[in-house]
Amino acid sequence: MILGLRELRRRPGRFVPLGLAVTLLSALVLAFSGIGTDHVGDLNDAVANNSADLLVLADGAEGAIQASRIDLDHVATVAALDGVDDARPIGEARVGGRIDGELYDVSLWGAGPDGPGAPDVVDGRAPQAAGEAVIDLADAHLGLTIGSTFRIADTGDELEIVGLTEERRFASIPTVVVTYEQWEATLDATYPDADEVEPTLIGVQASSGADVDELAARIAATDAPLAADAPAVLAAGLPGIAGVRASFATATIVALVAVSAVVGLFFLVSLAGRRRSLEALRAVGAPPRTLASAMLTQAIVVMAASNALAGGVIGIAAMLLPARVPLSLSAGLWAVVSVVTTVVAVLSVSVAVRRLRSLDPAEALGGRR
Amino acid sequence: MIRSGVDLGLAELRRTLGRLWSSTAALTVLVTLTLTLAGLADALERDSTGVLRSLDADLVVFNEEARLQLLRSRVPAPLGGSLAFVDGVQRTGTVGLLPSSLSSESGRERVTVVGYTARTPAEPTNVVEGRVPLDGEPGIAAADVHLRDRGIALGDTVTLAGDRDVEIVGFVEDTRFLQQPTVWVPHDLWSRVRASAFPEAGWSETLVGAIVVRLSPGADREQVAATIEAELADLDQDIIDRMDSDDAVEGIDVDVVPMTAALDAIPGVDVQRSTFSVIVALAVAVVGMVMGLLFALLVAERRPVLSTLRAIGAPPRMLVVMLLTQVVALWAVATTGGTLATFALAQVVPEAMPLALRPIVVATIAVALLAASAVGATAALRRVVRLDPATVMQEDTE
Repeated sequence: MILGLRELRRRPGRFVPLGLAVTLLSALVLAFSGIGTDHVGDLNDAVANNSADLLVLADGAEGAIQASRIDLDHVATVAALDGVDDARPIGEARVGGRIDGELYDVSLWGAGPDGPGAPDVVDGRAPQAAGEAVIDLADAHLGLTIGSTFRIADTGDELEIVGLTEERRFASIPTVVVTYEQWEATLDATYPDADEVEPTLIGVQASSGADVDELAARIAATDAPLAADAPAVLAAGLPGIAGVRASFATATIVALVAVSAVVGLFFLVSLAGRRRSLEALRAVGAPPRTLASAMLTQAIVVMAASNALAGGVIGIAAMLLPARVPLSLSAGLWAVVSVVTTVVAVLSVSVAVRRLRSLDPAEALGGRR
Repeated sequence: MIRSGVDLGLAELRRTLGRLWSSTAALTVLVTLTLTLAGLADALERDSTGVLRSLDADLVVFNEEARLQLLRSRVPAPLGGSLAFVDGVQRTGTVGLLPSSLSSESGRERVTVVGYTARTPAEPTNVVEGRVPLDGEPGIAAADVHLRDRGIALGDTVTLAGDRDVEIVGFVEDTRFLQQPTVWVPHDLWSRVRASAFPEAGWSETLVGAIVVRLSPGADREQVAATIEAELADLDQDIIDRMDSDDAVEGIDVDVVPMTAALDAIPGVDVQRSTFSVIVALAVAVVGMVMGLLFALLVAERRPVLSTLRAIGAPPRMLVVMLLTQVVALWAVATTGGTLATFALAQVVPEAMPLALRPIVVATIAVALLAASAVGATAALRRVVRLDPATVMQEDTE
């Protein structure tokens, strides 16, 4: 072990290419997973993390929120069911928002001011009146903070930010929540020639002790053409989400397997490059166990340093990357990547050590090349 | 000298094949990884946008309220015909999209039902088996080949939205929307399926999703789009009469955008593209750097051999050519192996994971990796050029 550490101190440059390669490859796996997780969240967090126990949408929409329109009368139908504590209309529409002079597509949600579906704010307060809105923390980079304002592009109406939500984005665009009445008024003013404004969803708060699945079945069984699901279930079933999630999962798994294999092969290449010096050490009487211990120590140190560096690189990248490319560091995956790659590196070194054991010192002294 | 360098590089590769297997395997794995990522990104985008890409159209007309969202857009069908007289417009058609379900003997799955006008730019172009329905043909549909893979065959009867039986008369390729397969039906059938799905929306045969426009050769896209927006904002009375609207209508506010903008507006497509572009670029950059580091290791391993060659008179340029030959050879082997491995992977991954490789994707990634390898190997090449035989041999004797 001491031999290995001494060589690391004496010739650190020898291990730099190997360490850099491992750092880059481990960082790549962490980046895939981090970007993937955040990307899926940006698409459906407003649904997945909704405060309602159940979300009801038009049965014919087949899980597509964009296609859902519900007759306002059905809110009362749902609210009258046994096991329902509260039911409120929720609206979602894509509108133009002028933020700091720039025009953005904004997902405008109408919910509350209280009851199921109302936004859980992490700073400030929920909107209570017309002209008030909350925005997700992930959109704060646009210059929107509590007290700042922006305008609905088509109506010119000004909305003041009174609170911030976290992990409540939808469709990967800036997501704003206003009261349902404000949402209705905004859509009415934006599209004066359109038909009556109808809610997109109904948020349901189940009575204490009520079975949510049973309640969903009862809502679906009413005469109204409705379907109900828990927010997380509805979010997972949104069109396209399964494919995106599967793609990033595939990318992460393939990357982890590939990176592990490459790390192992890199150690083999690196040890092949040091074969002469190892043969020489065997020839002058260094026991195989000493050499094995030295090489394994080096492998573990290089892997630990490289994986630590990879985590650092992703942590810094998460802070520096534009909000358009969301990235976060998963500590769990970091641990998995570190352990898997280190195990593969140790296995790889073990293969090289087995070759070393079979080496004849006399042959090594003879300078076989 | 170049010829000698190439010959020397190839000869050494042949001689040291056994020792290079681990390097080649590492590169092959990295190429497989990069191609897998690029294939995922490509398939994900194509499976979201197929429904529009399969149309032979240049412009898409949405109602303004929909903000370019196909599932939300609702325009009166007669508007499509009225646009045929706009300068620069060659042909128009109408499409409507509806999230729905399809039940067959194989089970039930979510699909998008597409209503379209036949023999117009709204008709899908990628028919691979059978045919697509004509306007007014009752009870028949064409389906995405994805459904054929699920066991549905020509002539089978399937049920749309739980209560509408249709016979499959054809299959179309690459027409998915938001990862879901599509079923193409004439507009009247689409309207009936829509009325079943949204009974409160009522029956309206004249209300469709969007108008698609094919331009005449040489027509100015932006100018035609502006003309259409102006024309529809102030409609002629005979068109208003044909719209069968209960409200007093003077005009319709629409957004007319090029097909590329309509594709980008499909939920998630734009962001997914930029996200995966970053990931693939990151992978190519990392693979390039790793290749560079691998070549640095290989050069370090072969320093004595290279310095011996220098000592017996081989010029540095010859050694550079030799090494470049090996870089290209390793890249070629790794790219071929990686492509085959990725194709194999695409055959075995579950259907839920969109992974497909198109030749253009392979070619793009191969070129990018060659460039990245060349850049990555630059440091190793510099070390070869600067090799001082005396120093290396002295190190060797220490």
